[in-house]
Amino acid sequence: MQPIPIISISIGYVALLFFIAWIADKREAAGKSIVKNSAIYALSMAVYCTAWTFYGSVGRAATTGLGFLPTYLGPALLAPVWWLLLKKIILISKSQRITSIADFISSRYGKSTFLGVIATLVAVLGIIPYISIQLKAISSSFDLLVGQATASHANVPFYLDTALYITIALAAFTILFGTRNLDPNERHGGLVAAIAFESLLKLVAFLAIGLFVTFGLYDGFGDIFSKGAAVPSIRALFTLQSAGLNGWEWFWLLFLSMSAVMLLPRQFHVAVVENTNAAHVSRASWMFPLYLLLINIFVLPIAVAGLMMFPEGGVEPDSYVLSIPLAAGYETLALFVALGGFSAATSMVIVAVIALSIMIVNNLVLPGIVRNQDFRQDNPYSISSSLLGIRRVCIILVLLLAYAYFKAVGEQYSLVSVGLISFTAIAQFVPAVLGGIYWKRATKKGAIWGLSIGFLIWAFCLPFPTLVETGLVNDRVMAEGLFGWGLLQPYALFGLSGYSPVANAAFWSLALNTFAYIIVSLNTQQSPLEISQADLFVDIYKYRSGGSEYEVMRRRARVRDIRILMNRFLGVARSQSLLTAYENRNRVDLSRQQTAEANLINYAETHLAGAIGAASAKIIIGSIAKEDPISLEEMFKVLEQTKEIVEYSKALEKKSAELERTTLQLKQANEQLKELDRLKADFITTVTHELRTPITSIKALSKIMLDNRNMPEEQRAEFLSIVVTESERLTRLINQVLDLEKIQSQPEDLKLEPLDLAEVARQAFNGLRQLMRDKGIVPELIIKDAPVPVYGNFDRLTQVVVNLLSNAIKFADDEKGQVHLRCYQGAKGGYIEVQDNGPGISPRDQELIFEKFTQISDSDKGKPQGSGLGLFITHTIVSQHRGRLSVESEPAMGATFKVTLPLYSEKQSNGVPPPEQ
Amino acid sequence: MTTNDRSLRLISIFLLGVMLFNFPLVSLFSREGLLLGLPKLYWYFFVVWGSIIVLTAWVARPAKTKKD
Repeated sequence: MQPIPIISISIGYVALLFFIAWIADKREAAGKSIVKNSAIYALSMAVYCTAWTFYGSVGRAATTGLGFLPTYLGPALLAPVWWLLLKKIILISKSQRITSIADFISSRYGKSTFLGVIATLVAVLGIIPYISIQLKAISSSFDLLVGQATASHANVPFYLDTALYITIALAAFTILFGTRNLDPNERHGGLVAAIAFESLLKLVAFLAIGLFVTFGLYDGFGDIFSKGAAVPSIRALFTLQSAGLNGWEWFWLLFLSMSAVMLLPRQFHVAVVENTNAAHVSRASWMFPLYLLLINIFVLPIAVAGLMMFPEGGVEPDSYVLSIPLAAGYETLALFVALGGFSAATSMVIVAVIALSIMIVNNLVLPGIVRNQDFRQDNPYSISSSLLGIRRVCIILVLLLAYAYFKAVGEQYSLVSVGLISFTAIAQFVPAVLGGIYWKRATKKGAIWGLSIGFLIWAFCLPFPTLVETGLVNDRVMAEGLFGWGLLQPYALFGLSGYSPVANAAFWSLALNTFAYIIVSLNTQQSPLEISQADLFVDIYKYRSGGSEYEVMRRRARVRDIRILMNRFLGVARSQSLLTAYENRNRVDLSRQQTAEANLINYAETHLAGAIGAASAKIIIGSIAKEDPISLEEMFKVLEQTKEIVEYSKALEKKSAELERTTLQLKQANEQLKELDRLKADFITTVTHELRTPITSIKALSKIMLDNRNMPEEQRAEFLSIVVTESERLTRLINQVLDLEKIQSQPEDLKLEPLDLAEVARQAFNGLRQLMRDKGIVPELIIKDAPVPVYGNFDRLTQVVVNLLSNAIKFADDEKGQVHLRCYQGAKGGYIEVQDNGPGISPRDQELIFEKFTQISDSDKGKPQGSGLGLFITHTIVSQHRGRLSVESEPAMGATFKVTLPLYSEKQSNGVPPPEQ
Repeated sequence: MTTNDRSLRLISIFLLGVMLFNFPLVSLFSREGLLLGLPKLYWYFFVVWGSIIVLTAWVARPAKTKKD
């Protein structure tokens, strides 16, 4: 095939990619983004499949059978927990405006510049071999298509080398793609769309060649495998043991690919930095493994077919994908497949180099530039455009380094073995990242030590020997060890041999990396900023849900300085829109403020971090802000606050419940008091009314007698007798009120002692016997000789009996009056019964008679008898003796009042209080 | 299904996968001979892989379409 059509097709393809990116950007600007969905997200993650997958897998399968699979099984294994792990990293990165994996690590450990530098070096040096294999794949596929017989690029002068021109073209392509926007911290929607398209194309191309080989050249899977099984060397590929893979190698291949799929700079870039919605992760966690499964189904059949087609060797297994259709005479198909390989390689190169250039600028270049500079001067020249310039230089540098590596060593190794060197380097991030998001205690020094040690061991065990074999370094090191120390042999470090270099390097570097990370972390202290960042990272869900932000530093800066800084690093337009957004959200007018509050400083720092990385943003803000670093104690206090607030609110809840209860009790007490007050007022009203009635009649009669001197003696005598009666009534009333007062106010004065209730009844009865006889009443006292022992106050109980008797006398029948007094001991206590044969009490009145001032009006006699206090006093006294006063009556049948008093016994078992002695 | 439930299920799938995709279980299927025309190991990997994908899709499905 002629080179010209191949080149023009490639250029046409690149133009198509630009068109897609342009459309996507346009749609995004119009608010109708095509990249904000989980399918595009999953496809963009498939940038994981590079030329390694497209060409290298078949090559690997041709030598180790299914040994190519762990690279894809690892990601497929990890994908189910993305919903926990990746989502957390995305949320953290969104809140911190993380721009790269190095930025993530630097930000977690106190925005450390030094750590950012180390992480960037690990990433850049680790990825360069990986980029070099893409260059190799593109150039060798070009060589194959134009029919150059396996030309060795190493021996061609660089100016005649197609790989160099491919590198330059890729650099131009990447610059155009990744640095089109003047605004460097925005997402690259167009880039994501182009990458997703490339993922789709490479899948279709690979499936096409797979179907062609399996069903075109052969008669299905069964045909290929049965024919292959006939050849012993091919049959060996169907098992892992005979392909030389054991559990230890297998495990490390899985582990390396698991870490790579999350932490490779380009994977981090598409999965985290370009992520538009953390919820996309849940669908990507099965769509992405599905993509991997599809692109791997035909790898082994193609490899078997290639081995059968080229049994004598001479054809690089890594190029079977192209060699098979070319050998079969299907040039167009070969061209399409090559385009698929081209898309796989270019997508990787573009994203990886963009990610690396962001990292280099933000973590290597900028911290050096911005340190010791004063940005306070208002300078119309914006740094944001020069940032892009620096980034372009970085892109060219990285690609040239990759080309140099390819030229020096790349050709002697298979795609996969070089790629695994990069995977092992990237795996060094695992302890720092995993510990960073789940272990608060991890310190910056721990991360620095772990990462450095892991990186050095990696460098010594993997890339260093590849340089040795190219003759750049004396090869004695390989056999005798560094400085002649036998333990320091790259492929048998510390004497461990018998495994592949990758498994060895991965084991030693990761083991010592993790060990150093943990041990140093446990033995060093965190700075306040580290503590706050650790808290933000580990407890991201707390900050998201609670929206709580705390002041990390007490910083003061002038609003003017912040504005100048943002103008210079973000461009005037973007800076203005950000500040306006801030003003609207916080309802402040920044033009009226001189000094910026901590909120604004944090806001500016976060947005600057989105453009230039956390470490540089910290340095720049530091140049304009005065810091009063918070002491460690204060820091802990801040962190404890959230916990305290939760506890405090719980305590408050408890308190408020108590308060409610107390309020209720107070309310009830208040009601009672009000009721008492009302009763008192009623009482006074009634008493005064009762006093006034006799006084009025006494006054009226006395006045008549005074005015009529000639009043007949008879009438005067009658009037005087009424006056006497009324006076007696008055006296009685007053005595009773006083009694009541005394009884009610001093119940403790009641002296209780054992006494005979029958004696009380007898005395009271004898006292009133004459009165009853005078009234023509037949009294009867019914008592036995045996005493009725109760516990009480003699005088008060006498008053009870007298009151009841007086009542009975008052109501007894006028003509044939009868009053019976009974006293006896029953099963439940001592009883006194007073019975009369009066008009009786109606059931309605029976409920009322023990209330104060209840007077039963007698329809016959017209006017109430008595004060209405007698029964109330009686009732009160009986109650104070813990007894009971009841009445039985039916109208016209008389009434019986019954007093029940608890019996007195020696054991005091009846509940009567003991005598006060 | 609560968030916690879902997390536990996803972690279980992960652990199951780690077990199924590692030695010694893998070596049980690393035998010579074809099954229905394909190597036994080939069957094993792609069937387990596909099952993990289906399981993950089922557990990680959006909450609004949940049926339980």
